[in-house]
Amino acid sequence: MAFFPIPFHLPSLEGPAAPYWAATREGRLVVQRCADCQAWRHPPGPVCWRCRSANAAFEPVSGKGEILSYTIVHQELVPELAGVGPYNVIVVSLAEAPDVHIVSNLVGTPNAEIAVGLPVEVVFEVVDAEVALPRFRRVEVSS
Amino acid sequence: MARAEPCIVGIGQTEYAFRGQLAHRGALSLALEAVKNAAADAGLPIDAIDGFASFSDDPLDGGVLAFELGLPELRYSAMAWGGGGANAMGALVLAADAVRSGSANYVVVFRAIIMDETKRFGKSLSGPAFSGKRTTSDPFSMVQFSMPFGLLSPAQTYALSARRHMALYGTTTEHFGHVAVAMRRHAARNPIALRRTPITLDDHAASPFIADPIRRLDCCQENDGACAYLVTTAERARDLRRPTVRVLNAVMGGMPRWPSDPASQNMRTADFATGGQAPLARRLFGEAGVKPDDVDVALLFDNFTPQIVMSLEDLGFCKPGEGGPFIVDQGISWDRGKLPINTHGGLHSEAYVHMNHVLEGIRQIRGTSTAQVANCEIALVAGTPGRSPTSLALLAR
Repeated sequence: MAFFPIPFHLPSLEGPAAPYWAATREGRLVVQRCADCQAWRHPPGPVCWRCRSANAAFEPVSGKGEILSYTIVHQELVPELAGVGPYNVIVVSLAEAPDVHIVSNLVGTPNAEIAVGLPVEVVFEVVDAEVALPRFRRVEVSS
Repeated sequence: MARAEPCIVGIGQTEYAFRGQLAHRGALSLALEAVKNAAADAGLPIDAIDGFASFSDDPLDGGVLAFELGLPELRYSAMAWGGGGANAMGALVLAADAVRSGSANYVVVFRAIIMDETKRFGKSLSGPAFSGKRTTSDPFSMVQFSMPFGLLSPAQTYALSARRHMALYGTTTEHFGHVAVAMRRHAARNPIALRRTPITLDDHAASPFIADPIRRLDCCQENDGACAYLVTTAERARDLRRPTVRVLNAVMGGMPRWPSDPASQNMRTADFATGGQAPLARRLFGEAGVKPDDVDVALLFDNFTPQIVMSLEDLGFCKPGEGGPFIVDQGISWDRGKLPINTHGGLHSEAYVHMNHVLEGIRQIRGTSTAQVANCEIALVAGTPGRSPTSLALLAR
């Protein structure tokens, strides 16, 4: 089920982020990584922030992480949001690369149960033939 | 510092008004009125103005203003990059450098805002072109990582740092409420403030959420208006009629790896629940030989009330995590607070013109605020936190 009944602005499929969105369309989460010093970087860009190398690749990640922060949006800022909210926006810190943050939405969990530190994993919502958006669901931790 | 100190010798503004009310005049008209008022306040002939500085992709430039005012010679025109009001004091850095170096003699720092002329906040997002479209034709756009997920406005973005601050430190929405109440209490004394009706903590707690934890009463306004002030050297200031306000230091800069456009939230995790101003604050104070304890009044960028909590920590008035308790226990009001903040009512209650808090800092040093802090010798003025570059300044008698 779509998180938003009407699709919002969609990503650019050209430029440095193209491989990122191509991967999400195939159901994979990838993050750009320097081929020389192995530093992760996101959003994708032309050079490594650490060693300034232009050599880079997009590496698969597990899609697991934790909620760094979140907000519950109540304001109906645009007409397309009338009656949709309150909806959540989360920021996920990825397990393999904690400084890489993915802005997304949590699906399948009531807003009242969202918390900072909650473990999550990626799921993909196919929007159309070109675009799938990474969203996240709660991971139940076995005790 | 061995360098000659630049000084502020005149301030000017237009009326402040709610969004749309001055749209018929246009930003140029407002800017010119503010510039003329700043020159008149200083007692300086307009012909003596030979430079302009602004910030944040200001659509007006010095050439336009010099042409309209028929200035005999334009010697300096520059703009400091940076989003929103983040680099407001960056424009002061430029003006100060210009008069110190002799590039120009009298530089006006100005800001004019007609909300509907610029792509601001939610309004630009709405309309039939919104749904199912690409975020932008710019493939380097950062918002392609935020807008498809419904992260659309500054209130929503700043709610994220506020929420993490609450989770890490036990900061509460009531702390934010204390900021809102104090801003409004200050505005009630200020005849030019647009929101002057006093509010209580209960009013704040009953205010609807915009983006939880940010309520409507945590948000600044959206306004039309203009501000300007005149910068020159101490030597030239002596010939003018107003008490001189010295610029002890003005700095612009950014936290390492802090994105210019924070939409994607990819600042370092350790910095997430901050305003990203701590390194800049250390430079501000260190170069000026001043400590946070020496500051008599702080004019901070209260686009959203949680930013005051984080600014107190970034700027060294308290330790990380202690901003909320500082506000309640030490106090931020003009008459009772250990550190009076935004004695004009802030962007929250006076007006949101990106630079009106700088004018209040100047008034405090002059001794002419409507909520005047006793024996006010040093004022700290801050640009928008959470962006890069951002900016800070210290003003003094």
